[in-house]
Amino acid sequence: MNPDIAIAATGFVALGSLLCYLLARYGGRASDSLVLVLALFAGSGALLATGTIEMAGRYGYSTLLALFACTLVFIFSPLIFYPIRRLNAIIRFASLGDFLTFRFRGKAVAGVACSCLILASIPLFLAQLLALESVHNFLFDENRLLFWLVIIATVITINWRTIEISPVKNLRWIMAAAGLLVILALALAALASVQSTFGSIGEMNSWVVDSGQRLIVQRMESSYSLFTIFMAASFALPINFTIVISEHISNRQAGVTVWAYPLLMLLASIPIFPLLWSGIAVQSSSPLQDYLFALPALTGHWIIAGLGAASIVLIAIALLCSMSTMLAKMFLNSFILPGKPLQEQSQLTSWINNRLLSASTAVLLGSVLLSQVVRENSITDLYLVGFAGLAQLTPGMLASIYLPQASRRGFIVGLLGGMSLWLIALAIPLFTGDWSWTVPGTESTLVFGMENWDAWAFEALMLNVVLFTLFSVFSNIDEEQQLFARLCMVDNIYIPARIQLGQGSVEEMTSSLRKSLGNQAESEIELVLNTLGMDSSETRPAALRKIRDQLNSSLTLRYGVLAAYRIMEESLPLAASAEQESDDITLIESVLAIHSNRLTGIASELNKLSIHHREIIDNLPIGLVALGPDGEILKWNSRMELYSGLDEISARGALVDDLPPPWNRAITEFLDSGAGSSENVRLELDGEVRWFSLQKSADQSTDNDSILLVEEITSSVLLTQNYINNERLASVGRLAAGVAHEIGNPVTGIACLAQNLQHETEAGEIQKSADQILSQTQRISEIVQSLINFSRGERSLQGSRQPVNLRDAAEEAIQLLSFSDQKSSEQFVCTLDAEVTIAGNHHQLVQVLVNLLSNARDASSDNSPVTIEAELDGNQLTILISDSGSGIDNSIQQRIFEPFVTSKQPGEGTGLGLWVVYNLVKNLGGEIELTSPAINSDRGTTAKMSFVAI
Amino acid sequence: MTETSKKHHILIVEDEEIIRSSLRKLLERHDYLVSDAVSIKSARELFDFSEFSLIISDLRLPGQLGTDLIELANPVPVLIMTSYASLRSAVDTMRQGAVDYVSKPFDHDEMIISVRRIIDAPKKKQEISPGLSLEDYFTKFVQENQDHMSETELAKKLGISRKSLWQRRNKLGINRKKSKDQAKLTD
Repeated sequence: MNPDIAIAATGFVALGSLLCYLLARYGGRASDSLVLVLALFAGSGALLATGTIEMAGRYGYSTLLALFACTLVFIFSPLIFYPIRRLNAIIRFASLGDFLTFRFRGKAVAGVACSCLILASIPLFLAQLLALESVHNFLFDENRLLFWLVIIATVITINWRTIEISPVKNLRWIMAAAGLLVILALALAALASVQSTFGSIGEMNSWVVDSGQRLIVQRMESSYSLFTIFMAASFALPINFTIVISEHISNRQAGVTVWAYPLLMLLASIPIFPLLWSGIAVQSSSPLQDYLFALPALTGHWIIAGLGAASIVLIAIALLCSMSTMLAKMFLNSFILPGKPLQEQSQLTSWINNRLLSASTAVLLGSVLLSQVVRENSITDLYLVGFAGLAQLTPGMLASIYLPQASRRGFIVGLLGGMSLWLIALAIPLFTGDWSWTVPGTESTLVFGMENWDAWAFEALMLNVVLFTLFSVFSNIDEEQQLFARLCMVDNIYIPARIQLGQGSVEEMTSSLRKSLGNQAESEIELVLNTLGMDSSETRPAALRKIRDQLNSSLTLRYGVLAAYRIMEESLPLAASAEQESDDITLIESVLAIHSNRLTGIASELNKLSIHHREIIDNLPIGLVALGPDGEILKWNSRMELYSGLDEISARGALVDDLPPPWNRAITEFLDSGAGSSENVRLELDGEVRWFSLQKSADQSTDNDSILLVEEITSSVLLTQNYINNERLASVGRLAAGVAHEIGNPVTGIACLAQNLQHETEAGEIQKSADQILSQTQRISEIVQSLINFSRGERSLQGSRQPVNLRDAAEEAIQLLSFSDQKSSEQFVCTLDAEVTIAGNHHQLVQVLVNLLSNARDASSDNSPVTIEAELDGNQLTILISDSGSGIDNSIQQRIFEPFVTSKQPGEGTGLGLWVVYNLVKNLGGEIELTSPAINSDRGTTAKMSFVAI
Repeated sequence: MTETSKKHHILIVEDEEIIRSSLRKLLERHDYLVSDAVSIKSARELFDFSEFSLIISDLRLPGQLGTDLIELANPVPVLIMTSYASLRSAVDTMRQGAVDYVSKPFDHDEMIISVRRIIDAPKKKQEISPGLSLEDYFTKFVQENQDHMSETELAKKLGISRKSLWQRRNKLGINRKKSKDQAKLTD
């Protein structure tokens, strides 16, 4: 009975826990990393505080090699953990079992992997329990039952609390506290023991040489096996996988583990040999595994002894808690959840938590009972056996990342073979003691058990590898396995295809997820939305795919690979599609961006090239939109961002319809029109009218994406409008001379009537003159009005389209022209139907007709008739204006609609008339062509315009 | 209004009904015998031009120009009415042999003065040799008429403003005979 040590131990347990709890709760990023590394360090459990000293005594310096092997998994984590961490982007694995199930597929894999992990973990459990018991035996003499009850109650309570909140994450601070105490205890115990036993380090060194210990510790017999098994086991150690992979720690934190974990291991291994030698020197009666607290107690350092005891208790309990919850979760994911109709549980979370707690309690109780059977074994033995078992999972894990040929059958057969040999040769002898079997017909005897530990552990692993290889080579891999093998490959970059989802909105996803998950569906979706920073109004296909992927990932973390796969297939299946789905360019780009630093050689050069090309597209001085076959936006370059004010991140993945107005309408109308290009698309952006020209790539693109070019042509449209306006004003000027003459007549009439009035005496005559004067002023008003109408026109090309009567417009044009030459009203022969109307703008149509008719008149020097006729074919209206004048010279016929091209003498024509006509007709949605000589004639010209009649 | 053989017969060719009837009233008030037609074509059909002492015609008529009458009606003098006369149209008209021209809208008193002067004057055609340039015509016209016309009248006859009359006169170096009008201006 050592009450002083017991009190000190209790105090240290409380103190260490409190410290780490505070660190975890209130600490910043640095302390986060510290807690993380300490927790990882504690993941090896009581081995560090107890087993290593015994190992040092048994295997000498090979122990250090074994501890070094444990750190290799972190030193080489870029090769081992990073590829799996990368998969976290697609899927979250709760355990190594889940990862292996994901890779090799099928319930059989889940069952075998889970069973083997549980089997291999049992010796580790027992080791913790034995460590606890040894502390108990040292501190107290009796009440073993009470001690176990306290331990069981503590572990169940902690499990209950931690499962309730979230998995192992909440155990980190306990584990960190344990790790911290272990390092402190080892260092202080070694210092105190060396101090009291040898007095100084120098004396210890001479004792080591003198006593012959130096030769003993230099034995390296089992070093190969130790190194291999410890390295392999640390790959598969559940706590490592959980913290580094499942908990999704940041890359920075993962980076810290690379150097911090080996550093802690180094710190922990320094005191081992001084402790061992002190114990041997003082001829301690305690077993080697108790040296951490027994030696300081022996030398009277009871506080340090308390610290040692506390560290062992804390690390053992921490490992019991974390291992039991992890195993429980693995058990649930592999055996219970895959076949369970989850939607029937109204409180799914608490249902699962209850199962987890039950399973972890069962594991704990079973281990406690078993520990009573193996009490005589040393902690080191249990660890060695446990690690040899865990090492069996490593070939599968490494093959998952590096060997795409590895097959399910190979994995299962290899694992079963290796584990069977492990059971026979190592695990069962723990309970039964070593046993031997003489091979029939020979003299040789096989001895199973700890005596040949190194050989059996190594051979079991080799058997696993050989079987795995053989069966993988000689078995076919089905397509599903191939797909997932590719996904897990170290150099694979996951690029999801642009698959059609059956659901079009978040609500639809939720409701169909409810089929499989019941009430839990809402909170799962909500969790996913929070993670992605999206809201439930999202309808962009790319975003929905992202949500689906994220959902798959989080469901896998919560319910395991098999259950999550079933849920996704049941409720959110991917729409079956016969043709090869095109890759999701958006995702490819983002994935490449994330992984660009991992590309080397040509790949890196190609990536640079692709970035360069992307930048070119982005910086094009013209808007570019790439659309998928379903109208999904794949590219929205920076010029488009500038035009629309909509950044690429929100535009990408959206459907065209989801764009903000007026873009959605403009682009949809353009695409629906089927035209290759559309000029003068008028958009009102922020109250400002702007013009764009839209162009579409021909439908020859191999992956059916279409490319849309959007160019702002506002300034050129404004310039054109100015020209058109000026041209109109110029024709107003030309017309004005004629108008002056036209007004001359009524003015003269009025003057005459007024002068005659003074001579009129009859009331009737006076009245008549007054009426006539009024009618003459009316005439003047009408003339002036028509000129003003024409000159005012519309400043903008657009203006609303209204029904325009063709004959009214033609008559107005003829009247305007008659101002300048009275003969013309007789020269023009208009045979238009009064009923024909087109959609357009009256002023523009008049301007077109004025220009065409005046050209026809100017060309007809002999006053030959100019005919205006129209044909209606369906709703296609063709207007023909023909003259029999001089015609158009061949030399300019091709360029006749270009600006400043004229057949008139300098000074007579601006050369803009037909250019204006061309622009206005196009703007009215029509077509125009000039043929010379005129249709059905050998001279003259015909202007042929086509419009859609209404 | 009694019809006498002494009355001079005047033909009006004008397509504007109001102007035609107003002019007719004006001339009839001053004891002229008046016939009218809406176009040269109908005038030729209805009348023998030689019975008229004067033909007053609009310049712009449907189908043909009023100046065509000068040739058709020779030697009957033809007075041309033009709207908003410009120097060019005045020159063209006179060059083609019109006896005089009146710009629309016209003052009734001026019209009567012109009509009287033509009818009372001995029959003499305005001699303007073809090929006379605009400047020569201007010089001739101003020199002949500045004695009995005010500057305002001159300018109006020529269809130009008084200011441009001065400018042209200075440019062409036409000597001004000091009239009362002028003396008043230069004082």
